[in-house]
Order: sequence, then C-alpha cells, then structure tokens
Amino acid sequence: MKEYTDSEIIECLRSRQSYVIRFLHDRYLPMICLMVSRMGGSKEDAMDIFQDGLMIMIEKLDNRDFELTCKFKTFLYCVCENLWKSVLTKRKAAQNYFLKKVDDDEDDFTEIMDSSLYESIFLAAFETLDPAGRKILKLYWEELPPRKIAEKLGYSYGYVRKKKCLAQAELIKKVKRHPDYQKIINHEGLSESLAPSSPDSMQSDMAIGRR
Amino acid sequence: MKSKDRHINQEDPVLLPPGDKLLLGWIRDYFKASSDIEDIKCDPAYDKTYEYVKSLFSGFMEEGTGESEIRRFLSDSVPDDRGESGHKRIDCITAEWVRDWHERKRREQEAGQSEKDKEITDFVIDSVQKADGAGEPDEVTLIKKDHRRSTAGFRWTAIAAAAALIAFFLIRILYPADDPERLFSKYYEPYFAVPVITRSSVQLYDKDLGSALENYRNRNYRMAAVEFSKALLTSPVPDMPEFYLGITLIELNEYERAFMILDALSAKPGDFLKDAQWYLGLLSVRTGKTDKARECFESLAGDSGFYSLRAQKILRLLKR
Repeated sequence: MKEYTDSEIIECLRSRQSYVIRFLHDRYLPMICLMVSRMGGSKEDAMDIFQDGLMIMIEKLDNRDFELTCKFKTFLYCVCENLWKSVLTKRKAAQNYFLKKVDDDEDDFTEIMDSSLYESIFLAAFETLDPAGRKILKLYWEELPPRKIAEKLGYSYGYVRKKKCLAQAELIKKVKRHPDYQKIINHEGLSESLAPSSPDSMQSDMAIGRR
Repeated sequence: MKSKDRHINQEDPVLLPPGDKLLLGWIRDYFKASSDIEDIKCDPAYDKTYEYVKSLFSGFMEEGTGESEIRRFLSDSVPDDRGESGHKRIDCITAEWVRDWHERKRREQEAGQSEKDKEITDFVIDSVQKADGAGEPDEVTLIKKDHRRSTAGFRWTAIAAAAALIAFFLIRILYPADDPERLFSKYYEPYFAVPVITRSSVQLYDKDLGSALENYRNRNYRMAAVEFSKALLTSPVPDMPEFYLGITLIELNEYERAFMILDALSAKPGDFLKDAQWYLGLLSVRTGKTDKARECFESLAGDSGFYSLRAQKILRLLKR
C-alpha cells in the first residue's frame, strides 16, 4: 500500500482525489473499528462513524487556512471518538435501550462480544511467538521493507523473509487452535472457509467437547 | 475484506489458503489498529497544537451561521481548559465539531442539504463504496477546475505512463520471456550468507566455514571456494558448506561442478533442500537442462514454501 504524508492527504482531499479516501479507508478504518468495538460498537457502527468523521474532516480542510499541527490520524481519531461518544450518549438516553437491543438484535451483540474475543485470541497467540518472529512481524505490519527490517534487527535479508513466513504460519496455526476461536467459528457457521482442516483442529474441537 | 486480500497478495509471495489469508488480514489489521491507537494516545504533539487548534476552532465558530449565545459561550470556554491534557483539549474541540455536525444534520433534514454538503457527502460515499469494492484498479479523479496546474501535471504523467506501457509491451513481444539466459538473470541472485548461529542450532561453528562465509559475503569467490571445500571435510554437518560451495561455483561460472554439488544436495532431506532445488532449477535453465529444471520447480511449486510462487511462474514460462 502506498503511504501518503499528511500534507498529501490534505491536498488530495481538498482536490477530491477519491483514491486518498480508499487509502484512508484501508489504513485507518481498522483503527476506528477497534476503537468503536472497544467502546461497545459493531463494525457497521464503525463504518458509519468513519464516514461521518471523514466528512467533518473534509469540511474543515476545505478552509485553506486550516493547518494540521498534529498527525492527521490523531485528528481523525478524535473526531471519530467524539462522534461515537455522541452516538452512545443518544443511545443511552433512550429508555432501556441496551436491554431492548440485546433482545431485538442478537447478531450485533454477539459481534461485539466476538470482537473482544478476537482481540484476546490474537494477543495470546502473538505473545507465544518467539521474540525474533514477533519483532519481524510487527515491523512487517508497519509496512517496513524486508531489507530495512534486516538492517534494523541485524539479521540477513534471507533470514527475515523466511522467519516472517514461519512466524505467520505459526501465528495462524495458534489462532486456529485456540478454543475460543473454534467457538466463534462454530457459532458463525464459517467452518468451510475459515476453520482449520488439519488434525490439530480436530483435537481442538475435542477439547471444547470435553469442557 | 477484498482490500485486505489485496495487501497480503502484494507483499506475500507465499501461497496461503483463502481462509488463512483472511485470518492473517484480520490479525494484521488488529495489530496495526492497536499500534495506531497507542501511537495517538502517546502523541506529544497534542500540547503543541493546542493553541493553534484553539484559534482554528474560534474562527470556525465565528464563520458559522446562526450561532446561538450558548454556542458562543461554549466556543469561548473550550480554550480555557489549559490545565488539561492535550488529548482532552482536542477532544473538546472535536466534540464541538461533532455537535455542530449533528445540529446541521438536523437542520438539513428539516430544510434540505446545501450544495457544498451534498458535494462532500457524494464524494465520501462514492469513494468509500469504491474502497469497499476494491476491485477496480482505475482511480477516479475528481479535480476542481481551478486546479489547472495539477491537471496539466497529470496529463504529462499519463502520457509518460502510456509511453512506458507501450515500450514494456513491445519489449515483452520482441524478447521472449522464456529465454534461458534472461530467465536465469531475472531470478538468480547469490544466496545471502546467514551467520552460522542463526541458520541452525545443530551446526557448530567451524573456523574454515566462518572464514569462507566472510569471503563469500565479500564476493571473494575464489578464496571462498577453497575454504568451503576445506570446511566440507571438517564440518560436522556438511550441508551448509556444500550448498555455499555450489552457489560459489555458479558465481565462478563453473556450472557443471555446481550442478553436481547442488544435484546431490537436492536429493537428500536437510536444511538446504529447497534452496538447493531452487538454485539447481535455475542452473538447469541456464545450462539448457529443461527437464531437470522442471523437476526442481514442480517440487517447489507444489509446496507452500518461500520459493513456491516464483517456481510456479517459471514453470508457466517453461511450458510456453
């Protein structure tokens, strides 16, 4: 993914270049999703908030005197956080809203629960990787090229590439073997596309059955 | 989710099953998001931007239409919270923006949307929907008329890009991609010399091996070949010196000797099995031993390892 500087983002938004919206969507929507899910919202909520947040930002940026003195993502985050808080306030204001919500729309509620479960599963699996694998994966996810990772960590290029592949494979395996992950997959009926087909998963299923 | 797939495909040459790709996308998004939020919470620029944001906010409120007394009061009181943390200050300002946003939305529902708001809404919704679809490679550009200079720039860039594309296709047509020498030089690069300690815990450090690797790293291939040959006799597990000797001989253009060494290495299980198969395959392409090359790349392509994707590409070219 091509990275844009904050000033590029601002200029592109001012001249209505739609690809920058795509970049912002790919780059920052996960962050807004995580923030919203941590505060009890669903992915749909997060997408609405992200869209409204962008509209507010564009409106500000259209003013040529506007100048960012902190990171673009910081402002976007703050706008979205406030938007979401205002939505929550509205929801709380409605009488017995959450009780009604659980009864009426069970899917949204389970989605919220799943998000926090995913978070704990991913963290738990990641923490069990060996330190070199953790460092390499983190830097990869920060979009650092392999050669730079190798320089930064003092490994060879070939080692970084191989280690990254091994660490990714191990991480996927560990997440799939996690009993809570199995529960989510079974609940969502996603077994065909996402559930592991290896014997490991069978053991995991059996472990849940024994509980 | 398509966009996530796209990212992973671009970066990751390893073929993963679709479910694993999706899962890896989730994991990656989670960790990126988590680190972004952490970064924002620790942003030292909050305090520095406070004064600027305060004036910006005041200006915004003055330009607004139909401001009530309560709103003016709020706009004046926000900058007074100097003792609070920067995050909270930006929070207050953005909270006011959000309040204003909701207020305007409510007014729009009553009186209809203004032209400017409609334009922004259409732009964001269209772009976000495209981002969700993510399939279309072409990027829609909506440029205002008063941005003539950037339009001219784009025009020249487009002409240059078209010329480059035509040149690319001409080269592709005129020069067959499966030419052995081109194929070899495209994919071949000497193996990176990994420190002995990181490669395998079984292999013990050997003086000759260390010195040979040093020479190899410095591209002193003659000396490296001599020392790898010596290390072959002393190393407890000879796979490593054997493999590097093979690569060193390729560098010295001694293809037949390199072939013999890599052929033997690729026939036995070990740390260097796949690497040896890869280089043996390339060497076979270079020396016209197409059957042997196919055998090596088929083995690599059938595996989900590091060389898999490239091996598949070469196989396709060899089958032409």
